[in-house]
Amino acid sequence: MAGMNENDAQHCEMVQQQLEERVGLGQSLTPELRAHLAGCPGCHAHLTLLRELEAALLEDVPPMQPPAHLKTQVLSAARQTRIQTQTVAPAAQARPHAARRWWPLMLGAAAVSGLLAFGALLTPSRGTAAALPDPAVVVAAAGGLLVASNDGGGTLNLLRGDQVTASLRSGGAQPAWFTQGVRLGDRVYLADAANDRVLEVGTGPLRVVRSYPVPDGVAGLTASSDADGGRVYFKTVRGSVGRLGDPQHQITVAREDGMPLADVMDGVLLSGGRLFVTHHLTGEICLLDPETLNVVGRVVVGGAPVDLAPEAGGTVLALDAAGRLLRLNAGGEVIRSWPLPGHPDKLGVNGSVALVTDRAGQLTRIDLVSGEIQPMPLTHPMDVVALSDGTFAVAEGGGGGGVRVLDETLKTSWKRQGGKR
Amino acid sequence: MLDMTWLAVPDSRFSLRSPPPAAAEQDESRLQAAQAGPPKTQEADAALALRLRQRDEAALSEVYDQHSGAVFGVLNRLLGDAAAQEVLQDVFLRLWERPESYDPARAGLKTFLLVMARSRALDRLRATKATLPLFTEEGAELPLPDSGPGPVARSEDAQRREQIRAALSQLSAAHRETVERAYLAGESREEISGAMNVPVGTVKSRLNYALKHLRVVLESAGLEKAGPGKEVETWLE
Repeated sequence: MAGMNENDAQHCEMVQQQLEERVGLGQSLTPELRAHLAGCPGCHAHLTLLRELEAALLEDVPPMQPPAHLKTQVLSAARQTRIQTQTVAPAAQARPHAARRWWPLMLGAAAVSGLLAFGALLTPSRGTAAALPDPAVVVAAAGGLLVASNDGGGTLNLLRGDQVTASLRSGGAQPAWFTQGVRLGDRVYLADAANDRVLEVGTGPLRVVRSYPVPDGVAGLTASSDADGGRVYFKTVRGSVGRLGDPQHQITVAREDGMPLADVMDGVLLSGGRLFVTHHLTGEICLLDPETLNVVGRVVVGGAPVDLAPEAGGTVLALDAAGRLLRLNAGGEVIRSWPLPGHPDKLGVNGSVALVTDRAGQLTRIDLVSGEIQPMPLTHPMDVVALSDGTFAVAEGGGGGGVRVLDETLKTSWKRQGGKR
Repeated sequence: MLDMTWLAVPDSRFSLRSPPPAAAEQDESRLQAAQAGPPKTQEADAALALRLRQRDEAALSEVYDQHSGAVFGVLNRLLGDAAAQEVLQDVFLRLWERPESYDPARAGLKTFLLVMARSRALDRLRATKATLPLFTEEGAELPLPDSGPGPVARSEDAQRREQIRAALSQLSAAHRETVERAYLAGESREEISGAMNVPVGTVKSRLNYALKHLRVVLESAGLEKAGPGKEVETWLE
């Protein structure tokens, strides 16, 4: 062999065996191996082949959808590390403490521990109800605002004006991850994506009345009152639509086998005797008979419609997270479209003003008459709800978050600061 | 045994942070990835890497949307559901904490994350300091070859990856399983021997045959990288 004696060949053979073992076992290379590789193109090429084999095998493993709540836990933990690294000395920034990365899991452990004392959890506390930790969902409840927090314990706070009047921890096998809430009479229904359930919450006094399991994961909620006291409809992450308390009666609007997007809601709304349901995977608005739940129509609007709100006059507004606000007629067809910045996923409407929130850091006001678009930066707006007096309440997550009430011109009427319990 | 219908597997989901491409665009981009490398992917990875270094949380959200399914698939296969959930978070938070460890000129972001996920999973399985994943206290160890390939070389890498897939599909079921146990599941030669009920020598010969086969396929496609020439190849045999 030109340029290679027997000793060299034996050494390369040994090196390549070591490379095979180390790549196979996921071990790092020793300094000796690195030194050899630097001067041996043959062994370097062998390592390249092994790395590419490893990558090809990894890419061939079929993907699996992780549980929806994990994404938000990752983003929350990332936000936490950013906040903390901004406040520590530069020397400590090089490698944040390992425990910091696991705080969602520790919160999970706390939730499990808390669950062991379930009775205590559901007891409202008036003396320690000053904090609004990491608000995620805000609902206009009877006589005030119900704020649900993704703080690990699933804390629920009841506000009268800007004062917290009652608080409880909802608990759960996993740290609660609230994504949406709707009101029906004196009850509020909260979607908990982490525990695949809907909580029925009473507000006078504050208490968890019941937990409805939604095994496929809850993606959207709406409530409608009727002579029988009302119904709550839900859509699952897998594309089924059903009524709470009626587990035998569900239909699916999904027609594809593709994976649902993690951490993305869908909109459900009863309007004009039809149940409007967004299906963001296909960019469709599905129209269902609210009694039979049969699909009576589908309209492809494109993008990723994720939220719905009613308008006076029978039209419906649909929020496309790809960056559009759509006005739909009673048949679900688009009759007007407003382009929006960012990727908003929550919608609130009061008269001729719509507010949409983008968790990446923006609130946007849309004048539905003039078409004027007015952005307003907020740290992490998670939810927006229209209030009966023409104002809006916004839940802002993160360490500096809280609950903010704005008028229709985006002037802040008051803000209840967030904080840790 | 895994089938090779990777093009049909929905291996990436569009991100809500970037509108979904039209079907024709998706087909075109997949064709490019299969035939001539993924220049658009490389540009997108580079843009995401820059935003991650600027501490843009929306970039992390996009990365998660694009790759969490593939990463979770690998972790679930190696660890099971509960541990996979924990390590999934660790993988993305490590990227967030050390964005400089990813160099888009040297590897695709998906590959980087998958290799990191495997490394973390094996680390957890063995629960020993002897298994060091991508990162050491001294700094990051990159998962791919040390020489920066540049755009042209990355295009060639995509072709090589396709050839490797093709070569793997030509292996017998026993050879393929042996290769997967060694280079995916991280099993030792002895562990494979016990699991497949064959002598260790057979495991080694199967792995040697598989690597030789990969090399031959790459050579016949004119894609063997500078390194072992014919003489060395003969010696390896």
